[in-house]
Amino acid sequence: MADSSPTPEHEALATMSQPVGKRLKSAFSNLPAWVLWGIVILWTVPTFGLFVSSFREVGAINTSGWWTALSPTNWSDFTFENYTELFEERAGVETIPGATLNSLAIVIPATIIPIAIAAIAAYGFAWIDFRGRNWLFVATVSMLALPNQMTFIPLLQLFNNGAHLTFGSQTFVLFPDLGLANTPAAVWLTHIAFGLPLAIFLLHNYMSQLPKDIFEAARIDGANHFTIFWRLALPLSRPALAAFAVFQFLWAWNDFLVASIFLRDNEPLTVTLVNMVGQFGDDFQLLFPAAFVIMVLPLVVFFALQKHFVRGLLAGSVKG
Amino acid sequence: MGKLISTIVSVAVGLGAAAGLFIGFNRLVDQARPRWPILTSGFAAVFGILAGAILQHNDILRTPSIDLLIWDAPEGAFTTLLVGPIVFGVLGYLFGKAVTPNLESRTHWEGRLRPIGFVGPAVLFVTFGLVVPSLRTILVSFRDGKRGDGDYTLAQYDRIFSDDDLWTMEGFGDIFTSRLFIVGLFAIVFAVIAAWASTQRFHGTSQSGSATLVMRLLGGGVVLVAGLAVIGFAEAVARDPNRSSVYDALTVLVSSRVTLAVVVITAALLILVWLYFKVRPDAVAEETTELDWSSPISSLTIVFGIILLLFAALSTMQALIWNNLWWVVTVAGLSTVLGLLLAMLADRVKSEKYAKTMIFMPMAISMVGAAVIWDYMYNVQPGDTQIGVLNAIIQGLGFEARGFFINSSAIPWNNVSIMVIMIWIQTGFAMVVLSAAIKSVPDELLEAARVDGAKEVQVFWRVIVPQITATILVVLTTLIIIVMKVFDLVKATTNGANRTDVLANAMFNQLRDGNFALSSAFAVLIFVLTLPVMIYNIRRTQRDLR
Repeated sequence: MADSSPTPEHEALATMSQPVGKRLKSAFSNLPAWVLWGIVILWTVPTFGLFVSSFREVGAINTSGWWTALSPTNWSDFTFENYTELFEERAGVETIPGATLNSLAIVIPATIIPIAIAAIAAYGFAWIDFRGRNWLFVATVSMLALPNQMTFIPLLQLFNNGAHLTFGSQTFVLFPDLGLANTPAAVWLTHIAFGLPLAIFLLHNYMSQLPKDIFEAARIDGANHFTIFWRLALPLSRPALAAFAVFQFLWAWNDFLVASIFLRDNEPLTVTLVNMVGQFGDDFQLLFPAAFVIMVLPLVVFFALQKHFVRGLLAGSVKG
Repeated sequence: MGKLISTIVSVAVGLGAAAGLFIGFNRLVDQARPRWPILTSGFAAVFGILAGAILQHNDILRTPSIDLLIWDAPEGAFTTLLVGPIVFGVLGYLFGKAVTPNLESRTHWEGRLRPIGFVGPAVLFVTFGLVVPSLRTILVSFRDGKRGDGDYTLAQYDRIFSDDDLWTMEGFGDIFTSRLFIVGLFAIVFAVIAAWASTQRFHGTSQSGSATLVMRLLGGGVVLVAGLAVIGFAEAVARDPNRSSVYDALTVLVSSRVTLAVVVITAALLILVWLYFKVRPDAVAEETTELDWSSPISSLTIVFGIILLLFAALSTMQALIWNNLWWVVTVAGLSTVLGLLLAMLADRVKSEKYAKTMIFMPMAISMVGAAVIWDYMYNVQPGDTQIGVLNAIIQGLGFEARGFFINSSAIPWNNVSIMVIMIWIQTGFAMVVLSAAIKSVPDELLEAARVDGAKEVQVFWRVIVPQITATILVVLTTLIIIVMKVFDLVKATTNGANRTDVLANAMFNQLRDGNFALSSAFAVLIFVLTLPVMIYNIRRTQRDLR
């Protein structure tokens, strides 16, 4: 479309000299743009409203809509007070800096470890020939659709008591009680298990598309699989690694379910926010800045690394 | 801060240890061909560590602690770290020496062992993190007792399916008297007629052949619906003999202006189609028995009609499980349709990149955050000043402000208010994926269609849509999986009050109360409902591998 259309100046000139009917028609040819931007505004208004409100005075929030703050006469309502109040300590909920650290303590291992495990596995599935390879790969990837609710209770029991096997009077310890209950480790271990199928799927898709020639050349030169993986496959699949990292980061940071099942204190931000909703109900001046604080890091990651995120979404779902 | 540092340190140590194991394993396998006994002794030593650990941990073989010169070893570490590996290592070495196979079979073993080092860790994690727990959950759901440690029984499922709040067929009859259902039915009849007319227009087919088929289809549909309606009426009458559902149905039919309009338009269109073929017998040519579903009118109306029918059915049935299905149909369906629409629009707009980013943005926001955002959108105040956008608009238009979530008079439409949030989040996903699919349709194909005189609408419905069907299915299945286990939004908005509960929330609440067996049964229900999609995905992956 871009190729065939003349420059904007020409277009404008041409429009001016045309009769009404044609002018109407050319206005209608812009219809997709109008509709699209209309929907964009619809989609942005909720977030924008929250953003504006988080900077308004308590009294103003509760007595007038946030859109009134946009008129210059009401600009005096803007304040940073909500944010300072938010960072004060209060009984019953985790402090915001504490919750942020808890979130990071979960997200960092939950993002890095599955990448390492999955990259090695993806190479194995893509380039090492062994019996039962396809079967095992399909079985692993099929776990993508497994509702994670299926695993919570056994994992909770495992983290609380370990796993035992009883034969008559003798009890064998299969997995010792490592004191994982109520620790970030319980949460990120669970995140790793949930993240692995997707990671293997994405990385396998990418690695199996790499040109076969370079791998064969390396084999002939006497490199073993470990060297090929470390020197060739891993550096070449950097885009796919980044794609999954963004994915897993957003998923682990935004997770509420896993954290609220495995943690009773030291909660991450999402759980803290829900606790605040329960405790402060309509104290919007606290909820709005809190909700915005949760969104900041994912939004920064999203806007900065959107390319990778989209690539991750598209891998495997679009057939070229 | 210390917590964070200790996390980072432990991750680094863990990764280092894992890398060491991985490299060590590969080095060991490298020895298979040149020095076979080293391989066997290495594996035997690793086995020895495990055996020693299990033995000492279970008090079977506990050696006394020995104060080494620099390290005060804990009790039993001696067995684990010295006796186990050394004894087994030596045994392994002797075994390897004794049975060293020929080169061919050593090469074979090298090839067999290598993949274990690569895929082993991931497979172990998936097995013990996902597969084994899932099997255990299924097992626990069939057991009695609060913690799932009683006898094997169906009591949990019996509890779920005998609770009217969770599962009931009550209200089945009301589906057929709801306006949505009647309108949906007319939409489908209309779609069939439109499809038939479209075939006639394109192929110029014989009236008699396809006409009989259409009549058969229509007849079959009418019989099916009539049968369902009779069952439904019977059920409704049996439930409440004082109320005549037939009478209700007739009142609704006559009183609803929408219904009336649909009837009139359908009738008019039927007459027009009939007249067209009466006046233009030359439009009749050779025989086809196909219905043309790819024309815009027929495909749009059939989708619209099916959505209406499902909506009618699922909004009437007010138990938790039905509600969960309603979520899936509404959110997966509407997000995909909206996403496709936006992808098409964006394809025609120059600044599409920015527009797409803004629509896509909610994907990065946590559902908990989205719940707070939309709780504010839906806010209702008792007085005249509304601070929620939606109620401000409603009041501005002269209507009365309403509570979207908590108001019991909003049932069942309070569910839709929560679903809207999910659609707001997921439409961006559908749009981005479908947009990429549309761009991957070869330009030559589109140009060829345009050269042949196809209008833009026809290009879309007859060229683009068939090309991206596979992607549409991927989007749909992904969304179905996501929505089937919807949890955060319901938890953070209503926590299941006023008939907004869903399976995942019920599962969570039972888990919190310590009812592990019942909670497992809810989890298994989610799993069973997801199973068809899972099987479809497995078959797709298998096909892609070939």
